[in-house]
Amino acid sequence: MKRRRLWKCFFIVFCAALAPAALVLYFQVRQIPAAASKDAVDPAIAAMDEAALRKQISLTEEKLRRLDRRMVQLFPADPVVLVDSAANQICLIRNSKIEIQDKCSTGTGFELTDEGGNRTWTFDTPRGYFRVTGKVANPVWIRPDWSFIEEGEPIPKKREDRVQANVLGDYAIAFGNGYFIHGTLYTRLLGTSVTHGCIRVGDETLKKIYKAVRTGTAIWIY
Amino acid sequence: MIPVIPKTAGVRLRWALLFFLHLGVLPSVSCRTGPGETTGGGNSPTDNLRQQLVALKHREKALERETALARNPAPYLLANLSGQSVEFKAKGHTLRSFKIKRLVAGPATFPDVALALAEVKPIQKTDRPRIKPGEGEAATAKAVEKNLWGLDRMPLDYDLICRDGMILEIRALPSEQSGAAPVQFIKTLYRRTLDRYRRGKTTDRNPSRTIQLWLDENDSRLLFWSLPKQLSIVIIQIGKSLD
Repeated sequence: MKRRRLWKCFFIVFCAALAPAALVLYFQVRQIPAAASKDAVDPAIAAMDEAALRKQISLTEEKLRRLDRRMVQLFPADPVVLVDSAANQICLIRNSKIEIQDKCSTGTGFELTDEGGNRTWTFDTPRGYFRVTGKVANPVWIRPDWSFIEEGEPIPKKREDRVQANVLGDYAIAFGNGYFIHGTLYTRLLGTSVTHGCIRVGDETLKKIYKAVRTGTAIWIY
Repeated sequence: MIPVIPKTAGVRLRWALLFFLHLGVLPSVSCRTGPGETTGGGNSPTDNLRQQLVALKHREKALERETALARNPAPYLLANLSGQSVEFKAKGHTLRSFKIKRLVAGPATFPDVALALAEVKPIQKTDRPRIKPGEGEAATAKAVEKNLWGLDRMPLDYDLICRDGMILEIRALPSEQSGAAPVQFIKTLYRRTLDRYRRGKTTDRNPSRTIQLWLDENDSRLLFWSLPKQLSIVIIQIGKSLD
């Protein structure tokens, strides 16, 4: 009985001691640099009287509005393509308004290494800023080495043996380093990350995007 | 009002009351003013105008810095410490926006120039799934169904190391969907303790060149997922310090 009471006492003391520590850690204050230099009032501002301050505030507000407008204007009015690779969504924006939005497929992120272990490919869709470098109607796919290795086929020596028609859809939009926005036979997989790095889009959406973009059009992939 | 523990109360009740008093008092002691709140009152109208002008000037400076960066089409990361947000932007357009849940920064004044990302260093590296030669595209599709790679596999904690030595430590706190409040509490506690332990082990880091941003775990993963190889980072702190 005594022992039980002792344990109870110990438990309560333990909780009472631990709880503050846990809570201090949990509610720990955010620390922002003192920024003393930023907080120090500019002598010119410190010397101003009320009328001068009001005038200066009005002028600064006007300048801020101008800067805000300039910032908005920086985004191109011409069509741009945005690809959300996490949500597998593609959209075309014109005049800051979404004109087309649809699901797409992006890279799996898987890795493939050849039998000898000499070459490795990562099937990621690159992130960042790109530009349309070319447009092709009725494209054919020149199968790269990894495609043969993945399928366990010998790598052909002749270029003709690499050509495969009717797999990229009706159009392909190149954005550099062998990456394309193109069509797909596997429409049921749209919205998932299944590609080798290219961006697959449904036929109708692809047609609209193909017509809207031209060489140099901005593409942001994120 | 201080609760009075009646003398007649049993020992157990007294202990319980003392314990709950602990719980009530400590958070209020440790929580200080939040963002945007100002301490002290009773300023004259001229002082208020002066403060307003200072805040506007800071905002102007920050906007000028961002505009200069937004002229370039490359995406950039805008860490607004006072606004408690991290925005992934291109040409002034916000591509993704994240809320800073907690912020820990060294006593440095932040650099006024855009930082260039040199390296993204995850604390725990996740290995990518590998395809064996000859497995074919069907095997890949199957692996995708198993969700072997994707947002859920992205690291929660990582460091964005900039070229000038500045480090943005991105850390994850449990999301609201990760369980009931007590579960979240325990998870938060665990992650902070783990981070303290890691920090204790790291000796080569200059605290005045480090900013730690705690995001929701989903946001932390999403930010990692979105990062391009080349990225500029702008840190802005508008207005007064928060302490």
